[in-house]
Amino acid sequence: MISMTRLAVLATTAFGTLLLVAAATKPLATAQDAETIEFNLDPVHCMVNFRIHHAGAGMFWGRFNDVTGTFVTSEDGSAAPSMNVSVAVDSVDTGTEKLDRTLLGPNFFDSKEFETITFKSTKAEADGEGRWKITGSMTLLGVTKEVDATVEMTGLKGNPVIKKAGYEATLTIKRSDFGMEWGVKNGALGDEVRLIIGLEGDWTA
Amino acid sequence: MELSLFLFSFLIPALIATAILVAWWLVPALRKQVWLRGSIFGIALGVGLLLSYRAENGFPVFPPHRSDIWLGWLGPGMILVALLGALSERWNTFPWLEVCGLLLGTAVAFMPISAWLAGSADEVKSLFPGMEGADHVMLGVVIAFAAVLFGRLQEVRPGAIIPCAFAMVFTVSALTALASGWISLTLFFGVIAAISGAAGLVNRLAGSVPVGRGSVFALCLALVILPVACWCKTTPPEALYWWYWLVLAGAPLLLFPCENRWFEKMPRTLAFWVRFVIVALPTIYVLLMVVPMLAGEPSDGTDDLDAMMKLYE
Repeated sequence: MISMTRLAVLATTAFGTLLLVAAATKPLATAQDAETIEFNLDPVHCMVNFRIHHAGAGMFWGRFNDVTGTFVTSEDGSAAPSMNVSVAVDSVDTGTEKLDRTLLGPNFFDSKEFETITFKSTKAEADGEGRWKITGSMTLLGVTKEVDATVEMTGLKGNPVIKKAGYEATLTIKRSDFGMEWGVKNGALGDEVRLIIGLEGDWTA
Repeated sequence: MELSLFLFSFLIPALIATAILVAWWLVPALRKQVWLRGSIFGIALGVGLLLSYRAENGFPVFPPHRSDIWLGWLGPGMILVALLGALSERWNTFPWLEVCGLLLGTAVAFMPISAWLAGSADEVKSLFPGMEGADHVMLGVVIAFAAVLFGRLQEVRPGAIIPCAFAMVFTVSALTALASGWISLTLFFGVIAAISGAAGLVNRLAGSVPVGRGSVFALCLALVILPVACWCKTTPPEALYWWYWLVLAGAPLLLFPCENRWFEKMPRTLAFWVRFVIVALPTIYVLLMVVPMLAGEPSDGTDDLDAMMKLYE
């Protein structure tokens, strides 16, 4: 027969174990559902660069300067970010006004009819430390397609009151999937466009 | 410009359309068809435009999900309008031409509603971005007005001057579209300018390609819709004013004051060239304004770098 002392020891041990398990699992839960904070994109320090094959020869680069939106991550930046990014089409910048005008026209971005390009992430999976494969919906020329981007955290600085965080995202799309087909058939311009996106966001308590 | 783009979007459509005109001229059985006489030039224009559109974009879809797809329907629309206009030529007393012109304008103004009824969107989308209801009404009125005016003009002046005047206007329009940054529209204008020029040339040399009511209706559609599309859908240079398009589209109207007794007394060749020069003057003005924009942005010498260098000095 178990003595009262042993029963008390057993009960204490069981309770202690429960407490330990609870203590051990609590930090895991925090990492999973870490308190998230929303960063507002800083338009001055965000840009979308694009690269396309021109005339079967060189790689041509251009960029969009007006990028707005938000991303959400944990306070320490360890959680996979979710992103909601909007790019003003009329901020396209190739360094040549005449070319910008052509890109804004109906053969390419059709800026009078489609003023923004948007991306909204839908899922993310880790791909190494500070790297994620993020899937999301991209809308270009009114056509929404699912695209995959590799996103890397480039830094997180700040204090409990103000924080800055940055990401670099890269993805490749086929512009013909979105109905931008000018120059694809005759080889004047490539179909695949590589996007390299620099994002920096601010958070204030 | 890529060679294949030049070939498939400009040269081949223009050659095929010109071949239609030449075939009509060479085959007596075709020339006997009254309905073809009044529409052949318009049919050639529509075929040229459709082939040029198809080369780059494929066949247009209906209802259009983007407003530039309407230009893909302009070619078939011009063929249809040319045929219907030619069939209506037997009713040439007042007010039948006016009724036909009004129907044409109304049909264009109601195109967005046809797309909506076909289920392209939850709400009626304008023909081109930024157009309000009143703009559609105005577009329809201008097309009706142009169709009636040029419909009457081709009855009294059926020779080469109408296609030649439109060829000149479309050529300068092509350069204006290029300055605005729309390459496809440049090619469309180029194709219809080449076809109009070919029709004018054949008419001048052989006196055999008539314009006709149907063809005039097709010409008016292109004359009004293409500039409106360009203005609504592009971001032109600041120095390219909206009224340049008005000057271009309005230039053929200068043929009307030329219908007077002084011109009647002139030798025919001289009267043709005087009319041609009168229409050419405003188009040359626009050409002179647009060419520097194609060559490069005009600089007033006050760019940021210059200002910085001056500060540094």
